[in-house]
Amino acid sequence: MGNALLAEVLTGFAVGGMLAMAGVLMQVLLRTPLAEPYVLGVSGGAASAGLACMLLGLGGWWISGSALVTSLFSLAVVFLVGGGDARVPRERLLLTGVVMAAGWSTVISFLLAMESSASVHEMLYWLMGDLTRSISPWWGLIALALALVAGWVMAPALDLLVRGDEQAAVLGVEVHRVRLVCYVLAAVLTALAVTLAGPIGFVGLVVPHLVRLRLGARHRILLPFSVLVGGIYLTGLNAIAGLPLIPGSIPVGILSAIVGIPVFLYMLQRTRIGG
Amino acid sequence: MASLQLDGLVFGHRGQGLTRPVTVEARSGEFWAVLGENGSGKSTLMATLAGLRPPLAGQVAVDGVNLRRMPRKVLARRLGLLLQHQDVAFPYSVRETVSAGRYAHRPPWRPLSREDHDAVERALAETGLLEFAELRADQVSGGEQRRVAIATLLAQEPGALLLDEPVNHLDVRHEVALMDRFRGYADDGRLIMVSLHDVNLASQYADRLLMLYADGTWEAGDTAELLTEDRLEHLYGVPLKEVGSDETPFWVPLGHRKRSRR
Repeated sequence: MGNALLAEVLTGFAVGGMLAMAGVLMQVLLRTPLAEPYVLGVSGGAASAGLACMLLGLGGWWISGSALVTSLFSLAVVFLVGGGDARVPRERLLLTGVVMAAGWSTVISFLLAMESSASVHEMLYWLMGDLTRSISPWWGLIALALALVAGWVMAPALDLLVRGDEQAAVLGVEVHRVRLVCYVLAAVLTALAVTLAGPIGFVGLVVPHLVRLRLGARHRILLPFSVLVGGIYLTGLNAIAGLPLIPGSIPVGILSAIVGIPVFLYMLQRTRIGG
Repeated sequence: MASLQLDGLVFGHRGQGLTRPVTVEARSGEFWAVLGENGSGKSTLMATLAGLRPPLAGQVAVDGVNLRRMPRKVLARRLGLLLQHQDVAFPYSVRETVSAGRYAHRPPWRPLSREDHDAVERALAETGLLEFAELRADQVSGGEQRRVAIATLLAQEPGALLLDEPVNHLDVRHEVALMDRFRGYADDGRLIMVSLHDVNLASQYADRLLMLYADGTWEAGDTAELLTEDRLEHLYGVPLKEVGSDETPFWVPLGHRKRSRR
């Protein structure tokens, strides 16, 4: 019982930290504070792949590996169509993400419709973002620590990259190299987070926004504090989700959406978009 | 200090060259102005000289080294570019924004040194931004944002400064202060290359001109020699008349009514 609770708390911390960091990196890549793994459909891609593996009876690394491939694919589509170019309007980015998320949602519905076994209920819970079935948080924590070290070293370059590729390049950033590392890190963190706990939305949006409000936008501060606050935030939400307020248990992903959707709408209203 | 060599350079968009091959050497201590009508390629030239766009033909060398072979940080210490547009999507302070100019001067794990801080303070003071230093860069006025961008370039301390329309959004006081400052940098031995719409600023400040004509031809040389009524009419497609004294010549475009009286 104690070990299960510890695994759940540590997984919650790892997943919250990974989603927050993935959010920060996607916001750098796409130069908008509205970018986030769930909103852009990257989590949806990873969840679709994970679900397909479960239905095929494949587990472990199959789920992580296929989730990573679809995360990379989803992010690449958003990036190529939505644009990291400073001249491309940001509505296009958001719309591309929305369309990708809708596409993956359709894939998930189709996969669930094809399955008739009793495990569908369990899969539905996983798809809503659930930490109660956590087994081993260690891979997530190790990956998070390594990603944080890489992010910390890149932090000054990230501060320049958010101003656009040309500005970063003239100030001395090897833009393509840094973007590639950001892109791979964001996809790996999203894929691992989804593998561990299913697609949990809005952590990567809410947490960096709160940290920026209190501590500013410098990535040397923003990245470690987003990881820390993201970990605490999701663990806290999970604790609230476990309270016996209503019959049955609420997946933590539902609570995260209840908090995240108003924050997203508020930020959308406040953010200058239009390129 | 840095010099620029343009060797048979053809620049343009999507394989479409905007000029015939340009061969020019711009040495340290010179103040160059690039003139041409809208769409003549001034900004594209600047981006090509800064290594942001590959040349369609020929090459650009900085101190004799092809800039395509230079690591970005090395290039950024020798050559800086003020872009026409800056993107400010995140809440950095003015001081943090200007500090980004020191990126090329330090390894990524090292915090800003005393020397870096001094360079940032100098840049803020020279652009009159000290009193705005702690404000958010995305919340100051358009003219102040322009000065933030210029301060970032000054903090970078490159040997050659490329400036794409640096006085856009600036009032006359800041325009003159800034052009005086750039003139001073050239006198101190840096290379300054400025793209300008205003022929009178070029006439006042530049030693050398690069004129990009709409038909793809170009001319480079001393300002006093190149600024003639014929050339300016060829450049802008409207006649300009020289007024003022020989010491401070001033160019006035002739509108339709004046032209009909000529």
